[in-house]
Parts: sequence; structure tokens; C-alpha cells
Amino acid sequence: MVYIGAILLFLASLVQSVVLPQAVPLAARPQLMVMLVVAVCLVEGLHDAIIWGFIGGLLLDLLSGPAFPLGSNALLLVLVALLASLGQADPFRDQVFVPLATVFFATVFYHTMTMVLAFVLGQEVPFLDNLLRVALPSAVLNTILMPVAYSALLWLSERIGRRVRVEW
Amino acid sequence: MKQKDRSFSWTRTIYLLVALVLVSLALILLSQGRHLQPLESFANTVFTPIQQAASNVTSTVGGWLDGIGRTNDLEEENKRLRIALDAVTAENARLQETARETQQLQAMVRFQNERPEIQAVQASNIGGDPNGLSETLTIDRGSNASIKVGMAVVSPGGILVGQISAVKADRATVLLLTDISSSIPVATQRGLVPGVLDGQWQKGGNLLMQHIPRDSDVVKNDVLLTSGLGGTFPKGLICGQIFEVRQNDVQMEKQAVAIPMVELNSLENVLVITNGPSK
Repeated sequence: MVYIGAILLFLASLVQSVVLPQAVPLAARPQLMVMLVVAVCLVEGLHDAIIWGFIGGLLLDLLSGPAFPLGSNALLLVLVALLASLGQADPFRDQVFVPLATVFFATVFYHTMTMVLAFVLGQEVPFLDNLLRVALPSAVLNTILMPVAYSALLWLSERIGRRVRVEW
Repeated sequence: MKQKDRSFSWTRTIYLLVALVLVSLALILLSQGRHLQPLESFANTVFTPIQQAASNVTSTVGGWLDGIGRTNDLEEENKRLRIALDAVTAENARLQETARETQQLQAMVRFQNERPEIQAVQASNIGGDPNGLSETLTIDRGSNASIKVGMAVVSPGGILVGQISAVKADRATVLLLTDISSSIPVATQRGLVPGVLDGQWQKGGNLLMQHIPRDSDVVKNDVLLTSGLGGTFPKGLICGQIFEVRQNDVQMEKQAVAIPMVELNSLENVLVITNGPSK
């Protein structure tokens, strides 16, 4: 059962890097890995989310083209986990809107940081267009899909306890 | 005691966070310096067949869904025929898939017969940009197949798809001509009117031909070819078709909205022109 997390991460990275770019011709697509990391952070805590983010990011890097160096998505998703941990802060804990708001801001943050990284690597980045046409619509899609991901993770966590996590 | 445990757990998490951030940064630096090429090549060897399989499944399932979608009216008319019809549709989709593959191969052979001076490497599309910020394809061939940054990439039928923007040993990224970073010197096939074809995907469009002389003869449905200026792309590759011409009284130049002549994202195979210019 320890492998459930690894399987989920691999499937998510495969769908993200192969299936969605071909099946969804629009720029705005759900960011499954961001959603997964945020859901793990809210359900299992920051410690697990960091590991999920790092391993999931490495898988995304390995399955993607060479436009970004290995480690880019790993770094970004670890930072996404850190951001998502704010949703666990005491004033917000147990609020219904927290998973939705967290995934929205985490998705925008992920896209923004990806653009910053691309800029640092010398790529031409249309910041405003990407923000309006990619980051915000993706964040809305993730917000719509988050209840499914969050409920599934919660169910899995309650059913098999903390065995869902990827062991470090 | 509980507070001490929590504090220990928090400290452990912070250490882990810092360690993984540092490891990620180290990986980025090492990867940029191409020091991780053996590891990445090994990973590509493992993952590429899985990606190809997933890519084939995606396009096949897409074909089936299209086929099944077309039978909706018949399903309402006669439910008894539904199962048989679905089976026939699925079979039809399979046959269409085979026919499409054959057509692609024929187109490839035809293109190479028509342009014998062009040397090309065939590659499979195994994915795209996972975060959707750029309009790219990932192909399963790289520097080991003599592919370099800047090389032109065409569809099996010879229609321009884009150019190589990043290369590793066994895979490469193709920047599609619709991406906003793409800018290609072109000319109309009919009147040889010059212009520059810019990608507009991030702005919600397809292609925009700019810097067209104001009095030139450019009309809807004109086919655009690479002009060969600047030396990046071989001359005479088809790259789009004009959809709408825009002109106002003030500007000295006019613009034309164009569309690509192939479905760029759903191409299964492409040809990388290896004897053309590269950066």
C-alpha cells in the first residue's frame, strides 16, 4: 500500500505531460500535480506534501521535454506545498472554503513561478497574457475539480491511514 | 511532552524542506550544465515507451469518441441497433486509424520525393508542455539523432510545424509556430508578398502575418510559404493559410490573420529537417 502514492504521482504526471496536452487543445488545463500536492498538504500535512511535491515534480521533469532542466518542477512543487501549508494555519483550519482558495492561489503561484523560472533561463515570457489566459483559467479549473481530489484523498487517508504517503 | 514532539516534528519538516529545495537547485544547475545526461538518458529509455503508449491510447480513444459522437442521432432513432452500431463505429475508427497512418506514411514519402534535397529525421510526438504556458511538442529524438536547436520541424506531409527549441540526448522540444515566441519570415504563394508570421496562441489566436506592404495583393485563402529569409527555415515550406486581412486608413502596413494547415497538437509523427540551418 506504500506504493499507492507513487502510482498516483506517476499517473498524474503521465496525464499532465502526455494526455492533457493532446486531449485539451486549450492553454488552460487542470494542473493535476498542483491539486494533488495541495490536497495532500491539507489532508496529511506539510511534511508529506513536500515529499509528494518533490517526487511528483521530478516525474514531471523526466516526462516533459527538455525546455526546463531537471529539478525545476520539483523545486516549484515543493514551494507550492509550502504555500499550501498556510491553509493549515489556525484561523483557516476546518473552513470549508480553504481547499478551494488554497488550490486557486497555489495554481496561480505555480504558473507565476514557472514563468519567472523560464524568464531566468532566458526564454521569452509573455507574463500578462500567460497570467490571464493560462494561469487564472487553470486556477479556476483546479478550484472546480478540487472537491473531487480533496474528497478522494481524504477517503483514501481515512481508509488506509497514513500508508497512502510516499515513504521517504 | 506533546509540545516537544510537535516542535521536533516541525523542525524535521523544516530540515526536509530546506534539503529538498537545495537538492532541486543542485539538480537544476547540474542539468543545465548537462552533467545529468546519463541519468536523463536512462530515464528517457524507461519512460519513452510508456509515453508513446499513452500518446497512442489518447489519440485512439479520441478517435473512438469522435466516431461514437457521430452516432447520437441513430441511437435515438433505434436503440436496438446501438450496440451493433457502436461496434461498427469502433471498427470504423480502427480502420480510419490504419488509413490515417498509411496516409501519413504516403505523405512522408511524397514530401521526401518532392524535396529530395531535404534530409529529415522522423520522430514521434510523445507529449507537450505540462503546464500549458507554451505551445510545444515533446519528440522522442534528440542530439543522438543529430537534432539541434533551431532546426525546422514539419508534418509528415511537409507542412511547417515549428522549430526545435531545446534538445537533450534522446528528446527534444518543438516550439510550435503558433507560440508567441515564434516569428517566421514568409511570403504568399500566389503573389510572393512578404511578411512575418507571428504566433498568437497565448493571446488567444493562431497566427498573425505582419509587416505586409499596404498596397500588396493579399486575400483570404492565400497560402503562406517560408521565404527563406534569415536562413532559419528552408524556403518554400507551407506554413499557413490566410483567414482574414486587416487594414485601416492610418497604418502603412496591413496584417492578416492566418491559420495553421495541420492540427499541430495532435500530430503523431513529425520530420525534423537536419540539413537546414540551426543555431
